[in-house]
Amino acid sequence: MEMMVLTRMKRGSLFDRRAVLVGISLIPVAALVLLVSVVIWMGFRQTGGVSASYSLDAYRQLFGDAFTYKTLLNTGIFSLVTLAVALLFGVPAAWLVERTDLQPKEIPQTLMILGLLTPSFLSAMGWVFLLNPRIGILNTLITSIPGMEWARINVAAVPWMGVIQGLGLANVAFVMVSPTFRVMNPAFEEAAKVHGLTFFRILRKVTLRLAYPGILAAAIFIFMSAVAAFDIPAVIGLSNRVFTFSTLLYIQVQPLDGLPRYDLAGASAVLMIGISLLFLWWYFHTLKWGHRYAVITGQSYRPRQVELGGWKVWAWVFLGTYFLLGQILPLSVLVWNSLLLYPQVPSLSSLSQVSLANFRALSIPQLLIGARNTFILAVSVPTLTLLFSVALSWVVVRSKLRGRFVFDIFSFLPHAVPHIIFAISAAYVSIFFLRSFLPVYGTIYILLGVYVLVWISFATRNLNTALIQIHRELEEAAAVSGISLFRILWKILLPLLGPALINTWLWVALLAYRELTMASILATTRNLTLPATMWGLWLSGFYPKAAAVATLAVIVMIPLVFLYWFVGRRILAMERIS
Amino acid sequence: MISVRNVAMQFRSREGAVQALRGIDLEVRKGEIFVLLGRSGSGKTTLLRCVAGLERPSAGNISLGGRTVFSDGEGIFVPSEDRELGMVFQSYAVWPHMTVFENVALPLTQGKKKFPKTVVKSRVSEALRLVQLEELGGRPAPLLSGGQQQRVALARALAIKPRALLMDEPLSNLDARLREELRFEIRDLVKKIGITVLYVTHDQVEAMGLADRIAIMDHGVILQVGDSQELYHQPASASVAEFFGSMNWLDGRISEVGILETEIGRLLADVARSVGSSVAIGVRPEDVELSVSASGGMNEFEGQVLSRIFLGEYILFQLQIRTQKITAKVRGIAGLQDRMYLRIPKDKIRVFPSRLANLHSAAKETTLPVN
Amino acid sequence: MRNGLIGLCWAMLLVAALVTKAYAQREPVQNPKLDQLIAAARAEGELDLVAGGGTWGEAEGVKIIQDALNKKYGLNIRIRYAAGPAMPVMTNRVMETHKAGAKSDTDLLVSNARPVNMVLGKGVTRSFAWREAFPYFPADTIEFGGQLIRFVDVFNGITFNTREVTGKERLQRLDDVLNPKWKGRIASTPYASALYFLASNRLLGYEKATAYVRALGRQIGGLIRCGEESRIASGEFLMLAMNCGNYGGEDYARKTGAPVGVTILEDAAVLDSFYFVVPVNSAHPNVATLLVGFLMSKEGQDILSRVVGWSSASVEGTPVNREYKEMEKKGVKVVRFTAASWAGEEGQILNRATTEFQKILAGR
Repeated sequence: MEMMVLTRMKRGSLFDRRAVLVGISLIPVAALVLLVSVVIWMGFRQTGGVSASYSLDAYRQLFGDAFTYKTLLNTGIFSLVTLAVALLFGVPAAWLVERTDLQPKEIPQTLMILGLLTPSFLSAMGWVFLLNPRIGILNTLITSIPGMEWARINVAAVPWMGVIQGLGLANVAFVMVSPTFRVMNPAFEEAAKVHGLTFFRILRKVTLRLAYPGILAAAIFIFMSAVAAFDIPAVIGLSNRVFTFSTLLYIQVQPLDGLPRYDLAGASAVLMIGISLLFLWWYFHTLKWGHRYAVITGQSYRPRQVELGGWKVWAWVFLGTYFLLGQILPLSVLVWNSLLLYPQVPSLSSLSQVSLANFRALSIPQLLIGARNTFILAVSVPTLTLLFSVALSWVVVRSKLRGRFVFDIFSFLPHAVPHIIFAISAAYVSIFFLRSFLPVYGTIYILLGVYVLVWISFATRNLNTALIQIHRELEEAAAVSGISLFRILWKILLPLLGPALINTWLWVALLAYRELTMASILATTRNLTLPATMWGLWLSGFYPKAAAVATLAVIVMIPLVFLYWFVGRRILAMERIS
Repeated sequence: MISVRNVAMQFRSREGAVQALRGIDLEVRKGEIFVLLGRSGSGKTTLLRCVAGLERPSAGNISLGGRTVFSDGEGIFVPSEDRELGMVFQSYAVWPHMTVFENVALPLTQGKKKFPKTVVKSRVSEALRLVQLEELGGRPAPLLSGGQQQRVALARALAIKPRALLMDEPLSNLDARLREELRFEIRDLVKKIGITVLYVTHDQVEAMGLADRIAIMDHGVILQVGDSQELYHQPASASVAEFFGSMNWLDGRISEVGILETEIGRLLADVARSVGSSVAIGVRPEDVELSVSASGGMNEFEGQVLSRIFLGEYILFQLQIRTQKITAKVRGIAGLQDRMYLRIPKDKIRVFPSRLANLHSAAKETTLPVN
Repeated sequence: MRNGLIGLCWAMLLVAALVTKAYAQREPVQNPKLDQLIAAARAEGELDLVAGGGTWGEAEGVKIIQDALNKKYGLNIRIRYAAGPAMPVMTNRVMETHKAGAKSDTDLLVSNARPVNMVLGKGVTRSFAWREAFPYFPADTIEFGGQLIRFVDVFNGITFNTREVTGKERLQRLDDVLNPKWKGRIASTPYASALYFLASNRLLGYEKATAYVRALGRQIGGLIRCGEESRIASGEFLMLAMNCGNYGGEDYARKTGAPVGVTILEDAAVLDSFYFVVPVNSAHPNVATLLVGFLMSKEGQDILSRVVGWSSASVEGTPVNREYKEMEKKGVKVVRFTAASWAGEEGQILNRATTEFQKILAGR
């Protein structure tokens, strides 16, 4: 069908540029179709014998096991709590930063990404030290108050795990909802104000309603992130025998004894794809009228911000609470442990053991090998991801291509499939299919490819939201005045998408910088990354050494992030003025 | 100049296919201001967008100045950017990240035809002068008022010297005063340049004030094309009459040749319809004559005055005659009473096929979300 | 004359002795097979090692091994290392790459006993006449006609926090682990490490072992991976029953000074085995083979035990070898499990126990 449309488009003028954008989006979509097919294929393939045979065994085993359902229930509760906590902190924070006169905005924006600077298994360890019922620092503090014994937090309880994961994902909610607030026409809020709505009623009835598409997209994304989240459930849940779907999956694909059960992993992934397709259906169903929410109108306006006045203090208290809980506490635990030879709860005796021994013992040349690859990835992955995502989002939101929703589904799917399975699938594809003509297996390029594909879902969510909010007539005005599609993209869309692009680039860069699961599955000596090095240290029992590497990385990254913000804002500001 | 032949357009919606345009034929002459008038959902904007190349019709032919830009049969579809048109949008679509000058200049520097810097500069200033914005060239677009933004949009559309100018409800976001002001300005301007204009509006007054010719659209078809006077005085159908100016409606039946039985009583009229058929009878408020005493002439009825509104040039009366309310618009009247006599001149009575049937079909179709 | 002749004889003997001694000092001359190997390794020049995190003592460990290898054979080999997936996944990967006709990611596969069975008879392993090049190889370390080298033996036992579990509490037998004092405060592994060995008829047998694991399942507070010794050091868990090898805790304590100790249970003195496999699709098979040979020497074993805490019970004088003898002296029955244990009748029992015990420990 699409092909027909394309050929018909072409015959009209010399050449229709729309086809190029569709073509660019077809590249990741085709790759994703291939990877997802391999995942499905894995679910039927039995690897026990000499040659592979195919059966429904994995499905029978998965769905015939009562434990699967118990785990699904756990996962459901965990993910819902995660979602609630992430939105609770992320959405108000986004509103405060984007819609109010809170200054300076760089502080919350930078602190939000602090949590992204360390691989999440390390922050998960931080939480164990904070909240473990026996040794957790916070628990010790709470229970040291007489009569507070009851308040001891059992971090292994599924809802508490959700709270921790939610704190970790609140920044995702923040970054995904921010663009919605940023471009919202204040006229809507002003209209409500004039009509006598109180401030909170305006927030609820107007601002949040208008931001609904963005919040919904973020919510689905976060929920699926929680379903696939591995580190918190593995480090905290597993050690207390609380399983979620992802930890169950992990044991199947990364056993220490016996064969990896890729068939079960494939079947589980199919189940998760099913769940996310349901969500997507709901999402599309709800956003059928996405254009009704167009909030950058063709009428230009001055973004007006809510004056907080006396509420400013409370705004900082709110943000401060979140940063303390969500970002600073786990990071401080990490730094603390990097100063010890083995992890200890802070005390006088442990304080006396503090030293820089872990840092001194690090082999810097070795780290630099990983750092080089990581740097290459952290620059190229977001750039390519954005290239594909802009094309994809344009096709999904703007083109009238029939079947464009297929593009959207496939750009979301990588998020539904746990990264670990995706990496296995990529390994299969590159070993069996690509080897002869595209020998990427074992190189940094396979990481590049898989990372890009996986984060297209994140980038397209952000860009879809941003694009929906840019009034179609802004492009149409250009088209009618004879400006070709690429120039419209370059001169009109990209500048208007500017803030979303700059944010998304940084995020994808940091996600690529800290990605571990896929790196360790696809690791060879030629594509070693920094997180894989930390992972190795951690697996061999040297948590403090891993923490030392992470601390070093944070120290290096913070100025880079600041610099990025600085330059990014400058560029945006220049575009505004010139 | 703009020629539309048998253009049809289907939208797919959840309820199934929706016929937004059903075989439109249209001929806009060179230098003419042609207005598409209709309610929202009538297909007028869709038609404009088809001409602009922003929508692709499902069938038919469109040509601009003799060049075919769309032909279903020949498989031709020229994209917007190659149609050499100018367009002004309801939302203004002024690019918010640019200044006024940049907005107007962008099509000249980035468009199909590229102009040297000096030409761009002179063209932009010329266009800005036309819309009286030459002072504001350096101002960022977001700092302009609505009216100024729409002028920028107009200047932008004119600067490229398009073959035709398309305007999609350009004034509907402005306040009434500004709307009127700009309306005259636009007409003067385009007449001065001599450009062909296809203009979409739902506002009858705007249409009358601007147009050389008007096409009334409803449910994806053109009901009637003509100049303001034709449409006002000789509406081809009840729908046109209803849309174009206000109208008192009476349901009636032709009881004998030249005699109509209505709710207010018996009316004498020249009707060329068969006896016994149900009809809709329309009388314009300004055609109703009022007096304090009965004259004894034909088509005279006594009515209870419900309200009386003084509007300067005329007075608007609402009268109750039996079950029916009738509006009358009169210029000065001698004496005022609670009960007055109302006369309907025979030649001012318009008779259409029964409105009942009309309404029925309309109700069925308006549920479809068009455009 | 006679004296002269005798003198000459002596002189000749002396020369012969000197020559022999000289030759004896220069092994390579006597060993063309090794010479060949060294030459081939020199040509290859490098080695890629990918293994589950911790396997090779990370980059620092690999560097030490590389330098020692180069010094020993006068080479300049560069060994690259990356932490990859766990042993079974790597084993699987080697087979998959072989099936696809691709080179293996790792030139030398390190695998534990259970998954290594999988590669046998599939044409993935590269056989080598080990004793011809390395006469010092203990015969029992060469398995399946040289396809597998059992290069390390590990005692599975208990890893515990020495501050929390002091000498007062007896931790010598399986039942000691079930001390009510520790209920909810100890950990096991999600893979039921070493516990499945209890099901062997050489130990408790399936029924008794199941009963024990059930009791243990009620006793533990949670599951941690091997390699998470830090969570025992921190006091989060008091002990790990049973571990994947005592070497982990020993190595950890030695390197960090953490209060972590290990013990071997008298009624479950289990000796597990790790293997080297040189895959046929190894990109640098000769360096890999040479490295295996080196690491099986006493010198190599010393380096391994220094870097990762590993050693072979079959090589005289290594830590595990000493420990093994000590156990025997104490009259403790050491039960050894090798790749072969996972095949045949015993293999069936062990495999069944693995699946079942994992479920019990997970609380399923």
